[in-house]
Amino acid sequence: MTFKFVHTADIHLDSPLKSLALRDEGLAELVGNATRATFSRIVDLCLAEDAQALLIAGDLYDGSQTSMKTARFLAQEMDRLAAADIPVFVIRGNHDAASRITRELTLPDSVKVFSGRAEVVETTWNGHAIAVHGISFRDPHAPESLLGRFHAPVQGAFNIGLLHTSLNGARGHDPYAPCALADLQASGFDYWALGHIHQRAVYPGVPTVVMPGIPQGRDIGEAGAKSVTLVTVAENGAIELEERCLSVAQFERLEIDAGHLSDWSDLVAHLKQSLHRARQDCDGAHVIVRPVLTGTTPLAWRVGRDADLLHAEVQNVAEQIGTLWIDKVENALKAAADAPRGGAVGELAEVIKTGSLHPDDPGVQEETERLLKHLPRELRGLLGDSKEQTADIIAQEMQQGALELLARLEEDNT
Amino acid sequence: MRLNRLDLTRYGKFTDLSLTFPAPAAGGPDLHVIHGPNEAGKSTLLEAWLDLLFQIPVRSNMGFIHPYQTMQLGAELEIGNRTFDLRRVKKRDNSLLDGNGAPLGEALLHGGLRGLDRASYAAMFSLNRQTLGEGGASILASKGDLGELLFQASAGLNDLAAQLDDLRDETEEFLNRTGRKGRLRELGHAFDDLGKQIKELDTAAAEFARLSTERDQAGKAWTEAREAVETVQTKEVETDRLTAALPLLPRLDRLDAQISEYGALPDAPEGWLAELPELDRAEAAIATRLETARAAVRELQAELQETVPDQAILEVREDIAAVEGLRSAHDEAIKDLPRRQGDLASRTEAMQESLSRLGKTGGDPGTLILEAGTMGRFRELIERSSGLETAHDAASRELEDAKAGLLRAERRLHDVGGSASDLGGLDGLVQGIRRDDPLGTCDRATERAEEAAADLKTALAELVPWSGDAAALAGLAKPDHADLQRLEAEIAEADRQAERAQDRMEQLELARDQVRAKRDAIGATTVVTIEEAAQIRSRRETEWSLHRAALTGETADRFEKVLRLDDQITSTLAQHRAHAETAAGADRDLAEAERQLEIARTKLEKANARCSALGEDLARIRASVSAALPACMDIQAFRAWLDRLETGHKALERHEHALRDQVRHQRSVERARADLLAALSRMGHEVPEQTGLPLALETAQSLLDRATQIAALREAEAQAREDLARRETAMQVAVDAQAQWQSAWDAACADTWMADASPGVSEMRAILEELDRLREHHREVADLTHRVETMQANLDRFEQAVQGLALRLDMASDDPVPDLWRAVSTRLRRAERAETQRADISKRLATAAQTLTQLEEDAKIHHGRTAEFARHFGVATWAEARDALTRSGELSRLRTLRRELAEDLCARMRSSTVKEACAKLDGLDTDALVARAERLASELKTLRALQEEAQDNFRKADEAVKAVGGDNAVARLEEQRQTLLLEMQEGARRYLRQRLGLLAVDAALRSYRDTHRSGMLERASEAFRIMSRNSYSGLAAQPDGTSEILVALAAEGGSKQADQLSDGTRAQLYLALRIAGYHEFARNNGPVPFIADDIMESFDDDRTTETFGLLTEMSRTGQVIYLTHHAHLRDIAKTACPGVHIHELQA
Repeated sequence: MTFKFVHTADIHLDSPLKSLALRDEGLAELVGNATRATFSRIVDLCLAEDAQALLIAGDLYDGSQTSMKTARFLAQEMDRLAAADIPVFVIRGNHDAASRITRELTLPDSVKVFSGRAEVVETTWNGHAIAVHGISFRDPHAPESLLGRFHAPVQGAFNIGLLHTSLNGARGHDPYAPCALADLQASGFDYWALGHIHQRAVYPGVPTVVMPGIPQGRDIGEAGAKSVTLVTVAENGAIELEERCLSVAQFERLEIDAGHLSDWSDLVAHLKQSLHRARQDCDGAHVIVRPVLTGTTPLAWRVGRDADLLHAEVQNVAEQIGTLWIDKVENALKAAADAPRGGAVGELAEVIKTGSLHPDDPGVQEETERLLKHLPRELRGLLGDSKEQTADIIAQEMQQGALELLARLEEDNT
Repeated sequence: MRLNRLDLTRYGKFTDLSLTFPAPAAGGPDLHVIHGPNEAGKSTLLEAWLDLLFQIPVRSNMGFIHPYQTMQLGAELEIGNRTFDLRRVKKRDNSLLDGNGAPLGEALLHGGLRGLDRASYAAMFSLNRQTLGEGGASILASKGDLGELLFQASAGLNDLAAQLDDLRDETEEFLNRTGRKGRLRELGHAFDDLGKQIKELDTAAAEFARLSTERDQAGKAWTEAREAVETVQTKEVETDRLTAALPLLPRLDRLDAQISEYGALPDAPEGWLAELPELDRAEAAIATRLETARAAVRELQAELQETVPDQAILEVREDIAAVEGLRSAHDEAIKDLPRRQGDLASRTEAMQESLSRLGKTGGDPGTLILEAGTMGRFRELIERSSGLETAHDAASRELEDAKAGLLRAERRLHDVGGSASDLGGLDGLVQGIRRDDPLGTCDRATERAEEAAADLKTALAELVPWSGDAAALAGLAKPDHADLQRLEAEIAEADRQAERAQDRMEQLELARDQVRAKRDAIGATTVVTIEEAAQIRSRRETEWSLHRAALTGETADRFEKVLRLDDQITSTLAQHRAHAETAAGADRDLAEAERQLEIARTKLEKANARCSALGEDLARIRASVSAALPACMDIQAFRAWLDRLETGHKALERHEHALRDQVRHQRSVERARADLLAALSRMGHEVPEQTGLPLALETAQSLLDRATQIAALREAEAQAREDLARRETAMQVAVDAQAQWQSAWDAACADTWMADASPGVSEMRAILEELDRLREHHREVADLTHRVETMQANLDRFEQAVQGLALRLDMASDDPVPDLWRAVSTRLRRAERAETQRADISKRLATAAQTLTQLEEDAKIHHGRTAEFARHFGVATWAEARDALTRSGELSRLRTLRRELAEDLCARMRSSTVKEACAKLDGLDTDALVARAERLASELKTLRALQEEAQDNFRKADEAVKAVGGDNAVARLEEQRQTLLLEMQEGARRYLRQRLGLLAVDAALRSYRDTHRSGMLERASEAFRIMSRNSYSGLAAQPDGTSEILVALAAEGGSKQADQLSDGTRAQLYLALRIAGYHEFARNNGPVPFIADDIMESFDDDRTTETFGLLTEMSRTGQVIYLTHHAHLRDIAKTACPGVHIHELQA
């Protein structure tokens, strides 16, 4: 008899989707609370596939969350699995360790939450001896490898390890229980159910090492199709992995090369075409797209100036499609880069590029402070968190703003 | 870059137009004026130049003659000392080609233009009236900000200040200056509201922990209260039990006493008591029912013996039934036979009659009746015969009518008489005359001639003072129009020059008088000669020597006196020199004024001479026309008179034309009349020679009418003839058809008994009818005969059968057959009834016998049972047995009651025996138990209240925990909050970028100002001075806070800010700045062609001249092209710049 189980991680329940597209109330209604919906679908999948277990390799919640309603929802979903006699194996990730709700929650007996000490649960699935190993994060930070603390594999059983790890360390992230792939492969386990990194990765070899990725992307940084992993182990021990996309909405960054275009209406037509194609290429029910215009074109200045018009055009196309939504239009176009602009305008642009005004200028300071004063607490870090960072951002914004403005002055005059 | 040649090969309205711009002499000006009237295509030219440089736009509006794919421009350009022959076609890519048509990169032009794009180039190096005006206005908008103005002028941008203000306003929509308004604030409020809502709806983990603890505590308290209640409840139940058990003891004693009273009575077996009522009833009923059954059997046996059957008739029952079958046929025959026989007789008679009508009395009808086919053939022929008759009749009648018609037509032709004569073309002639209507035309021509004569008369009268008749008018010759026009222009020009010279002279006289007055005012001064001065100086020297030698007071005084005199002389001399210079200057001015005046006077005289010479030319021309025109007639009056002369000539021409027409038409009337008379006489209708055209026309018409009538009658006769022939043919056809019919008829008769004498149609019709009837009679007679025979046979068969039966039953008699048959039938019915009765009685007898047997069996069983009862109780009779059984039942009931009571007691007291229970109850008292029960009840009530309260508390706490729920409301709100944050973040970034951008642009403009102030301001200042013809001495920068303001320096002193200048002056200021900007660019980047489009419309001639001077100056740096539609600007340009190239563009 074969057996199968569902492996997921980084649910981040009730973590909100972040996109300007959600300003559309219709979309907010359709994809709102997507992390919950996706989690329910994961439970549905376990039931539909008659899986032997659900493995959650950390980060059920966001650390900052304190709402018990989130926890209650989780408990309800776990009850559904309990009613079908499907056990759940959970380890706590860095986010869970920080979360207070983890401690207050009571879960059905069928849910095994591993403690901060390594534990092993021995059980039988469809007549096969199974050993599930796991260790939870005790604290939000785990700079050391946790691999050494695991028990030795149980002889004669199919050994599964649950570990929340940044592996060798992903760029831009602090290390979380770092460990080398080679060490995992030398552990003598049969399947490593990892979590933490939101991008799915499957490492070939023995044992099977899977980082399932986040099942529901929450912003454009988590673009692409997202999934959970359905694992089937055959009688002879062969492991088959299936990627199941359960997300409610999918984020997509759509690079659009406008390098060959010099006419506004051509640009709009090209954008339109690209969006239609993007919709065709995507399986998800709802796609939230961020078109990124790239290439070198004389339209660069105008796109900067008429961003609102362009957005309206794109929005219009999206509305026609119906299930495609616009996050925002990103302008990464370059004006003819190597040909310097002549005349007084070119000269003024040069002055601006060399920094006509220092970020420390009192006028600049005054403007910046006035804005920051009226921003909510959550946005105080808008201009960076250190003095140097802030100065950099200001200088950059100032230059960008001045050049856009210049383009606009020039356009308005013709 | 320089434009040497521009080809508008196929572009806009132009085809193969080429403009060449020759290169200037070294160091010479490169100024080109392109002159062309409105619509000549100056704007197209400018557009073409831009399209050449920067591609023809995708949606060009210059493709109205040459389609897009054929549009082409060309040019020879000089870029960096090299000459390029270029072509520009309309294509998306590779639209720039070299002279050989090979593609060239845009980089060549891009480099030549120093990186300027189309917009920048158009803004910086082309200028028109509108941008000039807007430039002036934008100076006002910028409030004179020097940085903005210099930048604007260099970049060719206008309205910088207003646009920057707009942008500033735009940013305030997000966050205004005070921070109290704007989109950010709205978003912030919404954000805070969501936060509050979340707080209200949500339960945090800490709060949840508190709720859980509360619930657990309440649960514990509830459990404790419940246990206390249960304890007291147990005690209460115990007390109740004892209270209930106590009264059972006396009842038990009573039952024991009753049972002992019955002594030793045997128990009745189970169920006997229940049988008792049934046995009682059976005892009484059985004897009676036995007697009744025996009597019934006896009666039935007697009845059976009385009934006897008639066996003889029953044996022949089947034969009788067979005869009954024959009876109905017999009865019917009796009834119908006479009627049928009557019918047969009458039919036979009718058939005989029919035969006699056919003339075949006694014949066999079978041979006479014809076959159906033959009958049909006769009938068809009969039908056809009537149609043929009718056709024959109609044909013969129509033949007669046709004959009569022909006769009638011949008679009418004869009556009209004669044959038609040859009309010889008269018809055509008359029609032609009627169509042309020469008489009417002639009348109208006469009328027109009269009108023209009147017009001519009026025109002649208009020509005063000249007078004369038509012939004289025709003799008047007009002078050459071109000469006259030129003369007129010359006279006007000469007059204008004379007038201008007069004005100039007057001005100069005025000036001379002023100069003279000034000179006079200077007057003369005391004159000190050099000699006198030298004399005094030598005296001074002398006195000094004396004084030096003596050094006395006297010499000193003398020396001082001479010294003072010398000083005075020196001073006077200096004064005098100055005065003399002034006077000499005034004299020079005066002389100059006089000289100027003299020149002006000469000019005036020349002009006047020219005027009079032209006057003489005019007089000569006038005299050449007519001596009658007066000498005082000036050129305008002469031109007016010549116009009237023109009118006169035209009237004369019209009159002559009308007269010619009139004569022509009169001739055509005469010709028509002569033709008509000739034609009539040719036909033999002689008419008088003087007959008029109308009468002749009438005569001809009546001849034509008669001819037409004869022709019509001839036609009618011919038709009647044709008709007759057609009718005769029709008649022949009818006769043939009849003959054919007759032979068919004869053939049909030949096959029948009528062959010898075939009958006619009406006879045959009667014969056929009779034959139909005969066939009917023949068939009926055969039918009736057969039926009469059958009936007779039925009658005989029945009578024989009845008599046979009667013989067998010994009932034979001479009675008629029907009576006999009735007697047999009656006897049979009676025998059958008796048979049925016997069967019934036998059946009833069997039933009665069976009932009797059953009753006897029952009686035997009953008696056995009662005997058994009596034996059990040891008695003899049923009555005694009955009594014993009743008493045994009562005893059994008492024993049951006693057992139940004992069990009840044991159960209540939880004892196994009655004895044990009694021991437990011993000593208990009912009253004490009641008191205890009451006490316990009261205690229980209190405890229950406490328990309910605890339960309620638990329920509430539990609900509070459960109320936390797993709904997603909070998460949804949080999501909305995140969206708002994103929106704020996005808006804030954009806001900051715009605000900082504005600051950076301001700073950059200040930097630009500082870089270019010295070079540009100086040049602009100079240009402005020249353009304003020294009304302003120049421009200056005035500090104003962090910025600097541009001011104009008035010649009379003081400075003016932009808003104090007139609109025109501001435009000139802008032009001055643009000129400076041009030089600035050229200095830094090298020259590119500059194109100005009629920018000086609002300038007076002097300023125009000065401005052309400035443009000339610019053109020494780079090529300048000036487009205009004012002819006089060409002259001004030539004055300002003799080396200018003028290009004429044709409309």
